[in-house]
Amino acid sequence: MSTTHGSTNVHDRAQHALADDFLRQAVHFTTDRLRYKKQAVTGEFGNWEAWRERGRQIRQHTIANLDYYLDLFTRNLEAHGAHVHFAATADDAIHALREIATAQNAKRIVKSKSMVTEEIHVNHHLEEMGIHVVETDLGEYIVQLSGETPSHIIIPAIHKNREQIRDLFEAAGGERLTTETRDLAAFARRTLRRAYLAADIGITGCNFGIAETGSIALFTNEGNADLVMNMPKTHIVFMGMERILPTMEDLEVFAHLLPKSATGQNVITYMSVITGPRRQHEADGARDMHVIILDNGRSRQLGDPDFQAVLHCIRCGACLNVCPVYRQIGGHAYGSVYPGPIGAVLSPLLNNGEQYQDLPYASSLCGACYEACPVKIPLHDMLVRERQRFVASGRVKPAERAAFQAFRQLFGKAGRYQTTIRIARRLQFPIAHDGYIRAKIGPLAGWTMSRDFPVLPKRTFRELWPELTRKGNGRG
Amino acid sequence: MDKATFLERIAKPLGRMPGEPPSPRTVVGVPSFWADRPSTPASRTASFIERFTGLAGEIVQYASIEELRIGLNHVLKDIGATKIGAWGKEAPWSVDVEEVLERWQALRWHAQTERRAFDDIEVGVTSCVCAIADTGTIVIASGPEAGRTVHQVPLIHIIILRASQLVQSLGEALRELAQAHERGDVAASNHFISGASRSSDIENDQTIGVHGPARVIALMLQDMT
Repeated sequence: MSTTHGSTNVHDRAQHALADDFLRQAVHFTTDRLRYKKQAVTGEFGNWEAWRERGRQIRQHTIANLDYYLDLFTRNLEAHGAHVHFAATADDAIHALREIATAQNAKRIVKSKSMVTEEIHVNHHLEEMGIHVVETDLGEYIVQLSGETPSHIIIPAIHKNREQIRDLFEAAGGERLTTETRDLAAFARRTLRRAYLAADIGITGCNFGIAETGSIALFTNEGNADLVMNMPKTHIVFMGMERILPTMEDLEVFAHLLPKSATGQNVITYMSVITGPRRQHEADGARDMHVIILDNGRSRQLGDPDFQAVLHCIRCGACLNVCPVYRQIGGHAYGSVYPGPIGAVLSPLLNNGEQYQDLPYASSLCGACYEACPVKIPLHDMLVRERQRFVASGRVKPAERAAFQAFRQLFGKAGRYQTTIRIARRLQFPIAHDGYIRAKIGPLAGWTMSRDFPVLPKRTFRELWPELTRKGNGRG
Repeated sequence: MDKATFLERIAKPLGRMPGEPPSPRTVVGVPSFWADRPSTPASRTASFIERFTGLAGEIVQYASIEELRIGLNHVLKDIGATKIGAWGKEAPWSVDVEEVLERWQALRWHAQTERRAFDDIEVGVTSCVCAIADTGTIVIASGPEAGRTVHQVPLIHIIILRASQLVQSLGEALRELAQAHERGDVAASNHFISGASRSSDIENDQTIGVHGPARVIALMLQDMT
């Protein structure tokens, strides 16, 4: 993974996002809508905690035995005539894609929404190969036309308004359009239908691979993945290696958990269960099917008691919608393909370097993400453990290290603390006004520019205590 | 990377030997409170209709095959479609509607069909494997006479089914799929359709028919009374 935002850090990007009123409003409105719909649908469904626990148990078992289920899954895939490619890295996956595209002499490709293809920048590589690639999910299509990246896992174009969308569509299609949703959607239908018909290859992700049958289950509301995989003669599936479920019966659990958590829908509009390429005597469906299974840093989490559970994630985006940080700054501020709490945990883990190490700090650690997660991943604990590991490995700014050393000195001895407070009480006057400290510069400014910082009181609790005790005794 | 090495990189950190069977499962599939719910033909019909119409699906029930045929004819007349596509004659139809499809000169799907001939059909008429009461879902399996194009390409999809094809849960339909795999005759595509194609990607404003059908109409023979 690499950032799409150069060398800026999450703090700078967040400042930028906070200054964008439309973005903040749109993110608020969308996340509220998804959150309330989820609340309503899970309330009506009932026993939500039991379903979450069931989801967690199934994911835990699957990941704990992943080698077995991946083996079974791929044997079944091959028995149905699909080709399987194992990619240890993003480069391996792109290499496999390049070979397939070259063998097919592919010029045009249609795609449905897939986070894993974003992770390894499939579109960028296809364009480098001179292949014209079109995203077919309406939101992804908008984002692609604007040359941006998705800002939400489920609703990629959350940050675009209808006027901007009309302008993008007019530029792409050379025809005049209104800003009516119906007109814009009809334009997309017409344009993208031509793209499906002209495409040599269709690329999809994979919501779940079912080990016992070798099937790929794909969820969409628009029906675009279904056309992507059935119209072109070749279908390529990209999947993270953890995207497995043991049986069809397990799929029922996740067919409830995923749409309810993602968009508050009781059921997804289209679930395609594809088991191999078209059969003999079938006149439609892809003739060739390739499944590219990607590791790209995932296997590093296996056996790690702190982080193995991050592979339980089903990419529903529910943690984004409840996160007080995501709700303020939106997806782009994270600077990684995966935004929100899951992105803050996953991006540094998959990347395993200094990149994204600021993301685990972009959290209030409130635990709302854990509460929202349909498979109960303790994301807030993971964020703390990531911070601990950064500190332990010495990857901390010198100023921060010095601050914490000072903190240890100060709080280590009661006498030292009391003396310091007494001195600070005298020194605070230049920046204390109306009972609050207001620093304009220096390390305190980061706090006092946006939050209250009461002045140190005239007397500390310890200084008050003897007097309080006296009064209490007198009354008693 | 070769498969053995790839799997070894997974097995090792998990403390497993390559090829070792999985640890015993404590749970499989849905909780028992869900699997063991009571279900009758009447409750399935009621639930299916509620869910299906809740997803903007349209449904008409018929007491006899003849009435259903007349009903299909009326629906096609109301739509005023000039180009209709339908599964082939040998496809697994739940109710025989050949006479109506012939009258409307529907383009029929078969093993040698040139898919592009169906590019501009306005209505697709199909049957289904089963339908799911819990979610209002129609399940369609692909086959030589049951092309996927027939129901994925047009703006209107008409489904012919019988009330006896209703199952309670998604799990029942999925179990049948797993059994078909065991028997060696699982369809390449099993499509679970719940209502009309929809998107909220433009300012959260929901719109239908963005890629798939905008109207989904079920004509159901009530054969369970």
